[in-house]
Amino acid sequence: MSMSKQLLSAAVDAAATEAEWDALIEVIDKNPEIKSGWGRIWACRDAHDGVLLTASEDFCSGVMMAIANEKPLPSTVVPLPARTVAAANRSRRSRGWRTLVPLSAAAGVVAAVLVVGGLGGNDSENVPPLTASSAAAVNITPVSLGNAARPDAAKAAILNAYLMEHSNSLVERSMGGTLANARFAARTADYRPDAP
Amino acid sequence: MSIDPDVDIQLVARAQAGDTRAFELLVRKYQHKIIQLVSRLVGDGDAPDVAQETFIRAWRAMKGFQGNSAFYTWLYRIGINTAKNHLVSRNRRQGTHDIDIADAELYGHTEQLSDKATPEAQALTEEIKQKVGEAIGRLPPDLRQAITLRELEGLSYEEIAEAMDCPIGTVRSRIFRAREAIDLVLQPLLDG
Repeated sequence: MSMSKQLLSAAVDAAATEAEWDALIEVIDKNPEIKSGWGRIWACRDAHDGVLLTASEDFCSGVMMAIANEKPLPSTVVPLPARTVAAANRSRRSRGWRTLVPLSAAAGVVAAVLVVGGLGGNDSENVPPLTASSAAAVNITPVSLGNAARPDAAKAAILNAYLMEHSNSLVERSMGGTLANARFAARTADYRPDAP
Repeated sequence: MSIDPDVDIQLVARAQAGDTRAFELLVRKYQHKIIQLVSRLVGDGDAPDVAQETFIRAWRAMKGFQGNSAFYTWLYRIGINTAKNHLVSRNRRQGTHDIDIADAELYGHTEQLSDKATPEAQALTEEIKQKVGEAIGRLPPDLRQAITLRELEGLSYEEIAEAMDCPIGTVRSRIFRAREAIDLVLQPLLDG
């Protein structure tokens, strides 16, 4: 016991060797009196520094019990800077419904592109054909879609006419303050208002 | 004086290797300081819970501590952040306005927030200082000189050995014996 207390005294003064530290930690774990002695030395130093002694024995027990129930963490955990975390938290809180605005805008653009793509059909001809060499470069196998995958010209014309009629109807009824998506899509396809 | 980085280095290295016993010694070393720190921000009632959360968070992040600052500085930051999070969630529950986070930290440094120390804690601290002073006064001169140079002047064992013109082993022994005598007056105060 006396030897352990000597070790403790040297350890709190940072005058213990590595081996003595190892021995002390083993002893402290088995001997509550040495453990309490460790706490009293630091409490005495805290009191001398003007720190108020408010922690009870239960305090440390509570911490250690919670830690004992913790799952082991990955070895590469590095805490983020506090300001980064605070800024991220503020940003996350302030988003709210506003996150839906860019999403709805993106959905609108996607819908327009689908309509234009479906009506046009000719853009695919401007794309250079996938050759064996270029396919090899990206490690894929070229597949021919054939005529079945191409939009039918007659169907496209019918759809185009329908969309124009629909959008004109909306404008006449003053339901669209701006050009409707369908009208815009039709105009950007093959529609020529001045054509005979 | 009481924040000895060399002691912390020994314990932190072991705690980072997963040794909970070493971490427990760090908890026992800093528990009073952390409770006092967070009590200034969250008040005495919530301080023990927030302080416990601080140590638990520190344990979780232990492997990320790279030693760029002193361990207590790192722990202090965790304590401040834990207290701030507690205040924000408490204010949200109570429907009051959030505190300004930057202000909260400023208060933590300047000690302008509540420092409502209980009279019991203040009395205990004063009693310990008085009893320890009296115990040191009763020590034989060589023990008294050794413990005074160490605890009050902050000298290392080497410096004390030089000042007292004796081997380091003798210094170590004298300081130990002085602490034994002081501990006799501390035990009833702190464990009673």
